[in-house]
Amino acid sequence: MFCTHCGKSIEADTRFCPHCGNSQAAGASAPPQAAAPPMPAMPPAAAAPAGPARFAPPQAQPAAMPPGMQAPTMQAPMMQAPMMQAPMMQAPMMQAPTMQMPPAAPAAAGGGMGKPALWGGLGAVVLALVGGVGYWGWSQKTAGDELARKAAADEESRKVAMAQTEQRLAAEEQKRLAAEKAAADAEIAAAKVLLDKHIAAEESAAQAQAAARPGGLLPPPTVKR
Amino acid sequence: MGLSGRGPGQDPSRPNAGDRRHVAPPQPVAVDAATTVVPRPDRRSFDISRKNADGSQVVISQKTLPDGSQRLSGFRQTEDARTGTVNRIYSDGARVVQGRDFERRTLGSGATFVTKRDGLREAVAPDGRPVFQDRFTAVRESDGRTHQMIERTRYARWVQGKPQFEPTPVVRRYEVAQFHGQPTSYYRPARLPPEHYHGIRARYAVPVALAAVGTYVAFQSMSSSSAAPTYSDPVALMGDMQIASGFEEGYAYAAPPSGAPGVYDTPEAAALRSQMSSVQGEVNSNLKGNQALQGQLGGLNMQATSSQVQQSVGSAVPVQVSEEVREQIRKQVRLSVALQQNGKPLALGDVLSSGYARIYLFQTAQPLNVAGVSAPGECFLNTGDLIGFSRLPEATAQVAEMRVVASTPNSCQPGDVVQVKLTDLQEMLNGFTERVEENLKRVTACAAAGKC
Repeated sequence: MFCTHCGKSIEADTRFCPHCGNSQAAGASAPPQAAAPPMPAMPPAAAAPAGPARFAPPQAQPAAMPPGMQAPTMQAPMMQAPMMQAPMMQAPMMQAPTMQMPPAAPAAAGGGMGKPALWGGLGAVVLALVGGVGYWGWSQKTAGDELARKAAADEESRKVAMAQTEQRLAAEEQKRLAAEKAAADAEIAAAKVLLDKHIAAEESAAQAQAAARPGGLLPPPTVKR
Repeated sequence: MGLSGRGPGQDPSRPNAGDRRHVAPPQPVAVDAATTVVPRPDRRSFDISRKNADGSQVVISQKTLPDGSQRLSGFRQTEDARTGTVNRIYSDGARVVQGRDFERRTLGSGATFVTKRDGLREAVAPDGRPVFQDRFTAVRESDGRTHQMIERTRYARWVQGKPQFEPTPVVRRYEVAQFHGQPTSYYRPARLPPEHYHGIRARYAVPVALAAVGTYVAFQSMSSSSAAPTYSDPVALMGDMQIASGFEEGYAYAAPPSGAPGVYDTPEAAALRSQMSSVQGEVNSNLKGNQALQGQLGGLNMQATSSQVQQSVGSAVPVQVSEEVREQIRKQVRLSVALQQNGKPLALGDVLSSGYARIYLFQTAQPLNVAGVSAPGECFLNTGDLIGFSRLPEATAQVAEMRVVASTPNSCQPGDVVQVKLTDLQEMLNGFTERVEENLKRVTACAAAGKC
């Protein structure tokens, strides 16, 4: 028989696979479907191996997936998402292509209805695994994209905030310079007024002195003829 | 108002009063054992300093002016430790001697000005005759008390580039008081006969030119294309006379009248120019083979030659004066005339506390060497140059930071901020009042002759 987990050939009635250590008792291993979101049931035709000696590589499998799962989000995350390299996730992905089908001849020779059903079940499990991993990758990619979008948005808002700060500082500097200039204008205007007042006061005192002296008032401003 | 927040003559590109433009001292670059080059902050001007074997020092200054032209000047300095004097002879023949209690300046024309520590001053014509001389005198007041004054006897005044000796010396008295810890003399003007004051209140029926009052136009208005303006308003005439006669006198001190011997060709001045030329040549050849030195000096152009010293001597080009400055001087002339009628001196302390000190302009009375604030080194204020406060002096300060507003080409440049002693500022106020008095007499004489 073959291990229901790693697919390697093991002795019949073996409870635990000597290769991967997983229990061979029915229902002893919880398939990853438990973590996978509900998926449409695989059509038996797609799930059943068509007789080739090996499983199709995982990349080919999505072709049989529902349209919603086939988008680039299926493959791209498998290639790109960093989380895909985590050992937990790699195990099924790496092992799936290397799973060996039992030799065709003995299977055929063995006959019986239990074997195809077993293989079909195994295939379904593998497909479910692949789909689950794909979905997980997609969700991770989505989450990654979301993070990237958030980071970009944060960066953008940081830039906007910086630009706003710079604009505010420039405006404040302009306001400060304008205030200084206004103060200087006012100071100079005030100085001119004071000078004019001083001149007027001294001229008027001079007029008064001249009036008090013999010779009388100074003549008013006139045009000489 | 047209001034847009500036005082008369304040450079719009520079901050208003209150700024400090002290510059970090530049680092000298040694060219050889006896020669250093000190770049100025503008990186287009520099000083070369050479220590001679006899202990004297030659300093060559090459300045690049705002219009891109270069000006070369230099001096040789010797010190006499025994007498405590420092002697400088300049490349144009001028000479400055600083003693323990006096400073003497001989200008290009040969005229010499002496300022003593006790506040007395004197001036000597190129031929050695006194132009004016101060002495202390005691004056008895009406209340019977006596107090000390300075009496200045003026024997001559400069007219059209030459000293013209008065038929009778003119005596003026100055009150002496301590101002910011320094003995300072204040000219108290004597009242003139009333007709002098009548003349400036009546507009002229026929516009009068400056030539009519014996003044040539030594300045050029920035806003007027007319080279020889005419005046219907006597105050406008007096204002421009004040400016023009100041620059005219400054030019007369700086260079001898044509044909007269000046100090430019004295053997010492000629020897200095010769040494300046050879030092420049040596520095240039040292620089040519030394990339490191060139890097330190940042590619300074050292091509100006000592022949340019000659070009800067005696070029009496009209000084550019803005309309704001002319207007301000007119007002100050009016104030001076009124103060004179009232027998009041024009005192620096009054100006500082008046509230209009910031816009008040000072006209250089006697030539001065002043230290730069906006740029290191010294420059000159010649008679007639106009300056205003860059910042008002502190209560105990003995010098003020002044901004040059209008100046002759050989003076500190307009916009330069320089340090001027407060006693010299008071001397400028005295000189301004005296010049107003002289000009009032000239205008009255012009009117009496039917020319005004």
